[in-house]
This record gives sequence, C-alpha cells and structure tokens, in this order.
Amino acid sequence: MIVATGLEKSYGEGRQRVPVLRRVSFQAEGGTIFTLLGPSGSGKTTSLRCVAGLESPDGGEIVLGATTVFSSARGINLAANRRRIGMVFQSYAIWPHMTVAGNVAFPLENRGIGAAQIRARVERALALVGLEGLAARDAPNLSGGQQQRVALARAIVDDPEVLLLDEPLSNLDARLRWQMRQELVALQKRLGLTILYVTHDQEEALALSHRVALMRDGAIVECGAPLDLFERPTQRFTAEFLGLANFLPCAAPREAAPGGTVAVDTAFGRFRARVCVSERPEVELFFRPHHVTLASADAAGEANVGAGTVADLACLGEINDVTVARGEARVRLRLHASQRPAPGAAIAFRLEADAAILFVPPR
Amino acid sequence: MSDRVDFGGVALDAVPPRRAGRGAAVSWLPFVLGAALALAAYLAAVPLFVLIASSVNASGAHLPFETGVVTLANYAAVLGDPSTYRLLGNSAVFAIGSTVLGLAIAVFFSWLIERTDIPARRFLFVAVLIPMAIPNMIYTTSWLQLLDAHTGLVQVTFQQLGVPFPALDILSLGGMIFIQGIALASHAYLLIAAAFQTVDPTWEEQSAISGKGRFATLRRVTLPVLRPALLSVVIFFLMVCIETFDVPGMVGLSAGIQVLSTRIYWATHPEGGQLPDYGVASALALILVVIAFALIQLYQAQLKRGRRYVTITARGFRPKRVALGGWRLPLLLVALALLFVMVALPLFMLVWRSLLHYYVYPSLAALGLVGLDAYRDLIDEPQVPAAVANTAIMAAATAAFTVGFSMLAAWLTVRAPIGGGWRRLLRTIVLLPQAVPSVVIGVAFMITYLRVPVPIYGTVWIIALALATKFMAYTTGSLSAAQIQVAGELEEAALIAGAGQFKTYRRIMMPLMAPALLNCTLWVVIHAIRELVIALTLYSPSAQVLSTQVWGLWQGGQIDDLCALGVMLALLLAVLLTLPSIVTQAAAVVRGARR
Amino acid sequence: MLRLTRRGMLRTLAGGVVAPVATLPRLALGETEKDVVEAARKEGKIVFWGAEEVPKIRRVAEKFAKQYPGIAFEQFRIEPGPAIQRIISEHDAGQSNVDLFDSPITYLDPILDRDLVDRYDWSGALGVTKDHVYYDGRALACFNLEIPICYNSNKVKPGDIKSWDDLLDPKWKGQVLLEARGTALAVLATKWGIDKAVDYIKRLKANDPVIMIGGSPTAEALASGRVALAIGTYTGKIDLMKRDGAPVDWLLVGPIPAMIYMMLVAKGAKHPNAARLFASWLTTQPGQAALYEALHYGFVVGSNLSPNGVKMRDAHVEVLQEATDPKEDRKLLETVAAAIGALK
Repeated sequence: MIVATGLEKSYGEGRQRVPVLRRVSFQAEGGTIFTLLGPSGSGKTTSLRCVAGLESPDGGEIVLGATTVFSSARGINLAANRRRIGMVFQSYAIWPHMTVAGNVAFPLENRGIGAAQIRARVERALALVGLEGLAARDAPNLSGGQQQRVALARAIVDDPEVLLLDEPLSNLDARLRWQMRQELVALQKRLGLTILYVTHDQEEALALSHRVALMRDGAIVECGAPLDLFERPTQRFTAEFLGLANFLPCAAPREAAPGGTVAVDTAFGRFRARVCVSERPEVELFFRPHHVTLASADAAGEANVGAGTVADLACLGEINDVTVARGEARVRLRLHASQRPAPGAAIAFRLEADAAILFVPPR
Repeated sequence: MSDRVDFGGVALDAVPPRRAGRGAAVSWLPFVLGAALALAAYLAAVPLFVLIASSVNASGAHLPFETGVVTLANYAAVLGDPSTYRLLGNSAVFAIGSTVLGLAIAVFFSWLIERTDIPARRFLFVAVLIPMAIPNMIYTTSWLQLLDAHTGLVQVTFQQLGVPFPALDILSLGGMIFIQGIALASHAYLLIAAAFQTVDPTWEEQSAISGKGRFATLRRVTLPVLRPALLSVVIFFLMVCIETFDVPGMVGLSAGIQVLSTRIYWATHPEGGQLPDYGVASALALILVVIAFALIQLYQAQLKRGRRYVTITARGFRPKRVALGGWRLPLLLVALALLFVMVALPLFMLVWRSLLHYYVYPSLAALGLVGLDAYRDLIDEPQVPAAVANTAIMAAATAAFTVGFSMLAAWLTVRAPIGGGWRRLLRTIVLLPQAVPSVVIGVAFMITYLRVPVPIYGTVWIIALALATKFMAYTTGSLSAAQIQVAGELEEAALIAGAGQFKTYRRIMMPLMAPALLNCTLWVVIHAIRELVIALTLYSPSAQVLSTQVWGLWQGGQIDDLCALGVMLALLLAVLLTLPSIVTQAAAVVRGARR
Repeated sequence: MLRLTRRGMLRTLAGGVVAPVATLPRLALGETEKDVVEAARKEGKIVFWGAEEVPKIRRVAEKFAKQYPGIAFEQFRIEPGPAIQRIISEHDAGQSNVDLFDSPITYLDPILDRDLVDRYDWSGALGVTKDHVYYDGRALACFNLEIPICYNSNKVKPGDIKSWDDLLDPKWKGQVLLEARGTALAVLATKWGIDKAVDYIKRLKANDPVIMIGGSPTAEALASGRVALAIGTYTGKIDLMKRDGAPVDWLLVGPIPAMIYMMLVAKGAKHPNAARLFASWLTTQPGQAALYEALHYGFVVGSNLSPNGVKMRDAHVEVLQEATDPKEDRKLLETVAAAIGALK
C-alpha cells in the first residue's frame, strides 16, 4: 500500500520559484501495479523519488504500508536508506566495479545474515528474473537487458513490499520491452509486490497497470483503470495523451450538458457524442481512429457516418492509416490491413456507438 | 546533459547535471559541513587575513604585530617606489613572453600528435612530457650552463664549428623567458592536447571537403574553434608565470633582475645582511594577490564561455587524422629538433656536469676526468638522506591531507543533500588559495605561525599544511569532476539498498573514483616534491626537503652535487609520473590472468 | 690560574703579526676550563648553523670529538644572512634553536644591537688568545676568508702581476672578472680610503671587466678560462679547485684583503658550554689544522696562522682585515657595490 496525500514541491527561490508538484495525491492498493503516466516535466519522477526518500516534498504525507515515512505536518522524514523499498532506476544503476552477485547481494549486507543465506537469496532472486548462472559475471559485461534484470533482482532480493520502477523499459528495444513487460507482470503476481511505476509510454501504462494516474505540470489530471481512461476519458488531455485521437472542431449544440449526449454536426457528418468539459476554449468532437469501420458510399448522411475523400494512405503492415479530408478538415482512421481505399477516392466511415465525446469549454 | 568540460583535469567550475536530490536530512551532516567549512576557511582565509593585517602594520624590521601601529605607510612606500613599477613591468614581460613561447610549442606538438598522422606519435608524446619530471630549478641550472655567454656548451660548440652564434646573455630577462617558456611547454601540452581531443572532427572534415588544405584548415577552422579553450589556457599560464619563483629566482640571483615574486621572497629573506621588512613584503604580496585574483576571474569567465564550443559525445569518437603527406618528414624533423633542445640538451648537461668537479667542455680528453664523486658525496652527506626522508613524509602528509579533504569537499559540493548556498560558500572558500601565489602562501604561513601558538613552525608539518592549502583548489576541482562522472543514481541505488552515507561512499564512490584519486594523489606528491619557494620559506634544520637542499647546493656553488641530485630527482619523478599507467596496465594483466 | 692567563696574554701581545709557526703551547688545564669541559660533556651536543659544506665541517667536528669525546655535532647548513634573520625572528617568537653560528662581520650589527649574544671571557676561561676575541667577548674570530687576486695559470704567469694597479693595464681588457659585491675592494678601502677604492673601481670598469654575482661562479669562470684574472673568490676555493686539477691559483700580491668570520654563541642557547668549547678549540692549532685540512680556511693574521697565512707572512705580503665595526663595514660594502653597479 502506498498512500500519497497532498504532495507539494517547488524548486528555486523567490521569483524563480517553480512548482513541481501541486498537491499530488494517489493511492496504490497492495499487490497492484500503479502507474504514474505523463510527459516529461509532469512531476511523475519527482513523485516517485519523494516516495523513495531521495527527495523531500515541501508538504504532504506519504505512507508505505503501515509506516508513515513522510509527514510535513508531524515533521517526519524517514531517510531513504531506512524505507524498506526496492527501486529500479532508469539507468539501472548497476555498479560496474562489482560482479552480478556483488550487486544483488548489496542490500543484504547489513542485515546480519550469514554468507550462505545471502548466497541462497541472491540465487533465488537471479532465478526469479531469469539470470541463473550469471552470478559471477562482471557487471560491465552485461547487455542492457541483462543489466535491467540484475537491477530488478537487486530490488527484490530483500523481499520488499513496495517496488519503485522509474521508466525501467525505456532503454530497451521494442522486442525486449514487450518481453520484460510480461515478465514484470508475472513477477509482481508471484511475489505480491506493490509496484509504483513511472513511464511516459502510454502503451506500457495501459498494458501493465491496474490503475493509472495521468499527470501534467505537477498535478494529476485523471486517475483510473487503464481501459476506462482510454475509452472513456473525462479530460481532453487524457484523451489526447493516451493514444491517437481525432479532435474535430465543431459548433456546440445548445442543449449540450456535461454528462448528457447530443448530436453534433461536423464537417464530415452528424455524430452522437457524450458531453465532457475540457480545459480548452474550443468545442471539439473526439473519437479514436480505430473506432471506425468502412461504410458503403450510400450510407453517407446516416447518423454516425462520416464522408470525405482519402487524402493519404499509409500502409503500416498490420493496419492502414488513412487520412480523410473534407474541405479543410482532416481526420485519421485506422483500418484493417485489407481495407485499402485509394487516395483521392470518396470514402464513408461509420463511427462506433459510444465512441465519440464532445468536449465543451467550461462555462 | 552534462555540459561540463575539464581541460586535462583543471576543473574549477563543476556544475552538477541534475539537481542533487535533497532527501531526508542526515543528522551529522551539519557538523561535517561546518567542520569542512571551518577547516577550509582556516587554511585559506587565516594566512590571507594575516597578510592583510601585516601589510598595514608598521613592522619595519620587527615581526608583524610587534608594534601595534596601523598604517598605510607600507603601501605608500611600495607604490611610491619607482622600482616597484619596474618589478611589475619585469613580471608582465616575463609572464607574457614565457606564456607565448610555451604555448606556441605546446600547440605545435598538440596539433602534431593529436590531429595528424605524424609517425612515432607515442615517442613524441612521452618525450614532450619528460621535462615535467625535472624540477624547474634543476632545469634552469642546466640551461645556465648550456647557454653561458662565454663557456656555454652551445656557444663553444658553435665556435668550434666555426659557425657564428648570436651574442646572447642567458642571465637576462630574455633568458628567463626562454627557460620558463620551454619548461612550461610540457605542462601546457597536457591541457591543450585535452582540448584538441574534444573538438568535433566533423568541422575539420567539412573544411577538408570544401577543398581547404591542411594548414588552412588548421588556421581557419581548428584554431578558431579552439580559441576559447586556448584563451583559458593562456590566462591560466599567465597566472602561473606571474607568481612562479623557481626560474626567476635562480636566474635573477645571478643576473641581478627582480620580478614581483622574487622581490617578495627576498624582502623576507634578505641576502646582504639587511633585515626583512614584513610590512613592505606583505604589501607587495597583496598586490600580487590582486593581480592573480583578477586573472583567475578572467579564467573562470573564459572557461564558462569555452563550454559552448566543445562537444563531448558519450560514444567517444575517434577524430580523423590530417594526412601530412610530403610534410611528414620536415615536420618530424622540426619536432625532433625542438625535443632535442627541450629535452636532450638539458638532460645531457645535467648528467655531464654531475660527473665532473668543475665544468669542462665535453671531449674525449674530458672523459678522463669523470667520476661518480658527486653521487658519493650526496649519499655520504647526511643531510641528503634526511632530506629524502623528510620529503617523503611531507609529500605523503600533504597528499593524505589534501586528497582526503578534497574527497569530502567534492562530495559536499556535488552530492551532499545541502542547500545551494552552502555549496557555493564551500566552493568559494576552497578556491580562494588558487589566487594566492606560492610565495605569498609561504610568507603568510611563516608570519602566522610565528605568532599563532600552534607548534608546527619549523617542522615538515607546516610545509605540508602550506602545500595542502595551495593544492586544495586543484584537487577539489579535479575530484569534483570525478565525482560528477559517477552518476548520482549509483549512489542513490546504494542508499535505497539500505546503506548509510559512509558505506555508500566507501563501497561505491571510492572504488569508482579510484583512478581519479590515484591521479590526484600522484599529482600532489609530484608537485610537493617539485615545490621550492614554500619549502624555502618554511624550512628549518629539522625540516629540510630535497628542493631546499638543491637551493642550498646552488648557493654554496656545489654545482656537481646539485646536478647529481637533479639527476636522481628527475629519475624519481619520472617513475612517479609513469606510475598510473604502470598500475593500470598491471591491473589489466591481473584481471586478465584471473579469467 | 690567573698567572697562566697573564702569561698567555703576554705571549699574545709579544707575538703580534710575527707569531711563531710552532704551536702555541696548550694551556695547562685551568679550573675554569675543566668546568667548561665538564659542563660541555653533560650538555652532550652542539647545534651549529653555518654555510660550510656539511661533510667538510663534519670532518672538523670529528677531530674535535677525538679531543673532547661525548659531544654530538649537529650542523644546519644555512647562509649567514638568512641565519641571522632566522635567529632574530625565532628569538622574537620566543624560540631558540641554535647554539653556535658563524657569520662575516657585515651581518652582525642586528645581532649585536638586539643583544642576542652574551659577553664571555674567552681568554680568561678558555685561554683564547686576545687577538681573536671581538666585541667585548661577544664574538670569536675563527678563520679568515682571503680574497687575493686569482688567476688562470694557462693565461697568466705569476710574475705578470705585481700590484693591484697592474690589473688596470689595457692588456687585460675584458680578461678581469670582478665579483659584483666587491668585498675585496671594500676591505682595501680600509687602507686606501673609500675614495681611492671607488676611483679604482671606475678605472677597472673602463677596462671592460666581466662582472658576476657570487664567489663560486667567479671561480668556475676563472677555471674555465673565460677570464684570466678574478677579484672576488677565496683562496680556500682556489686551493681546492687546484687540488682537483683546475688551472687556477692566487697571487701573493699585497695588500691581500681578508674577511673575518666570527663564531657567536646565541643567547639562550641550549648547550652554551659545548658551543664555547668548540669555538675556542677552533682557534687553537689542532682546530685550525682541522679547518685547513677540510676547508682550506684559517687565520692569516694573528696567532696560529694557516699555511696560506704563513706563505703570506714569509713573502712579506701585507694582509688587510676588514673593518671590525659592522656598521662601517657595511657602509663600505654598500658604497663599493653601488660603484660597481651590478646589484639591483
């Protein structure tokens, strides 16, 4: 269990005071993977480091399990080396002058355990991450993926309850990333770890997490289950950040009330959409490119059907990325690889029900 | 993200690439910080303060503070004396001349060795650095004998060959400039070569592609790109030459020429039966400090500006070397000729003179007079082994103290979870002695510890302390740079793993900084052995070191003993200089064997 | 005791310049001397500050030890100027690290003015001949440094030069070396008068002399044949170089200027009796013999003449000692140095 409440932090003095965390609060249930997702500068890494004890917030409270490790009100600030956590850094932070075993055994050294026990636990940790037999290897002679696993082994060797991961997969190539993702999830399930995960890659966040907190400019924009955020975002930023998105400028119908549904006229056609309040002043219709199917030409004019001409076709192997134009307006569609409308041809597409959201400015 | 640059280890402005995280406060940190600040302030500030106080004291021939009168008379005397301006003029001419000469040679060799395909590069590299193993005063002695206006080896040789040689007098300001310039070239080479290595080669390649010849490229691309780095090196060595004592001291003694640094020394150690005037000496010393301080500000500003022009890629590129083609042989000959003058001649003179009782022009007949008496004398003379022992103790103590303190200071300024203001304060105090010339440090320490009841006056410890003060800035800068190279996350990972600060430092930082620590230690040891003027100001019967021995031999006219000692010192320093590469090669062998 | 002393005094007064070469008989051990020896042995050590080469002084000390065993000898090699300055600074700071030091006359007045040396009855207590006692018992002359005209034997025959004025002969143009401090001429000025000395320097300078700083470089230049004649290096140095085969020698041309090197016992010395014993022993025949053997230093005036002193006496060459008033001595030196004009 990780509970962070009202975390505040600023850098600099006087006029150069830059707030980095603005009353950030989140709660990671025990035994789940909770992800802080956001662009760089959003404060996600700072939040993680505050939980780790490597940075001290200016205000707020952090509770790990049953222990309050930080409380500005009560003047508690437990040193990083006294919080029983494991952490994997973005750069892995493997110590090059030691062997793999030396790296992994380090957290156990001050526990008063005998050398034999240490060796046993190191081997167990290495086995858990799939590095059996590499204990004697010198750390600099490891590949990137191997280093990552060593970092992981080191983080779990001491049986921590909480594991912090700071963009651990960003330095790996795509295939390895996919593999490590699976292994991480398996490991978490097996050991029952509570993981606080930080990433800027929304695909990772969606794949790994039980819950995601999307952050921007030091504050949490929206928090929830990954698919909920993806399919039914309540914030425009969430909609934009979590995947490819189409935002069609349009006119707001008078009866548009947040939470209700309206029919919206756009350049491509008329669509039914849920209404959400956005932080932007424009009125926009949002839907994701893959929520469409090709419709026959005579379906144009029906509700939830858009029509236009194919402006661009990009064949990406498994899918086709089609840009449809109508006048000055453009939308992107993702079609199955077999559907290949020719550039310049007329095209009609049907939007899935419930896929569209109308973002209106706040009153 | 690190935009730092350090030129061959001279790194004064260490900016951490990422703000050091300020984790939970560690209870003992304020004490450690306070102790470090107090110690640095004591070493750096106390002598400076004593100097200032002494300069406004009407001490005359008394010890400073003996008469409690505060007066500006010393400054009036110094500033009103026309010879002071002559001194300043001499110092300026000397500094500029030596710097220009030394840098010209250094740039030539740097370009040749780092950026061209000249053959025998490794040999040239080693040869250029040999003069670093010869203490400046030994080097000077060699040259005084090589170029003596009437009996100099060079002049007589030319005479015998019937070739006219220009009538030069080595015992002149020009002679001083010549000797200092070529002695400087080796040190300058290291800094400039480092700068050459960091220049993006694609600029030169583009110049080559656009059809410019190799010399045009050198002139119009390489040098301008290097200009900020070169400028900072120029300022650095101007600072060195303004305050250096060894060469102007030895030449000036026989030539009757004074520069600011020698004047300050002789004001406190008068030769002709006068008594020292500490007040005037302190006033002069402060003028020198002001000049050095101004130069150091210029240097730091230039360093900052220079960073824009230099690129260091993480991958470490290998620059393409300029093909010299038909110029290979001529340039090689020029390089060898320069090395002959810089290295071979002085070494030969040193060895030759050490084998004779009195100087005789080398000839087959003269060979009959050679003998090892001078070396025997040195071993018999009890002062020399005692001086060797003292030098070893002093160098070890200086190194231990300087490097030890710098490790702490580097950690505090780069990594410790303290506020930026404290960081800046500590860095400023540690850097302060950089602007204080050696002769001033020596005099300040002498005056201070004649009065302050700390019983180190007259022992090796006061010399070690004064040297530590002088070297503190360099080692802290160097170790700060090394500290930065050790990524912060490596330290943080250890903290997360449950280790305390000490254990983290001992198990993680120190092993990773080991090469830098070794280099720093050796640098301190080598420079402690070479250092003359501080030792000369502070030595005593029980605290004689090798450099004061050399000076004593010079004054006593025992040139053969001096040269013998010089040969032995040069051998010792050469061994020390090559130690790091020996150690790394041995370590590699051991590691290879283990596998 | 008193009788012995008076006898010694009478002998000295009768002796004067023409003292017999044969040794002054060792004074029978008087009570006072016995006391000093006893105290010296108890002190067991002498700390000596002097500019002489350490191995050479060590040889002298060894001979002393043969006669007075049990007294260790520690030398710190330091030039007289810095030595005096260090002694004054350390005394001002309340320290005393030296027992015995030597110095030429010029550096002495700060020491004497500040009363850093005690008066001692050298003759009474230790039987030193009065002609070597100076400044009311505060200093003991221990040897002279003679500065005769020196020559390179490849270029000059002894008969070529018969007087100082011969050096002004145009045939020696550019072949004469004058040491920049001009100590020899300052001593000559005590007889000639300072004006004549300055005039001599002017005329010498018209003869294009080579001017150098330092006695040793002077000797080296002479040995290498760069010049034919030199003023400013010492007989001791020339003798030693000659022994090593260099073509140098010195002329028995009067007057021969001679500096006087004094031995002083520092006030507050930790081993004063040992120091005094050594100093007084140096003035005796065995002491002088040891000095001469090691360094070719010795007296050329007064009792216990060195072989060089004997040579000078037998050749009836006049020997001039420098002015014994330090202030006057220094004034002469400064005037001479200024006339030469090479020291800035």
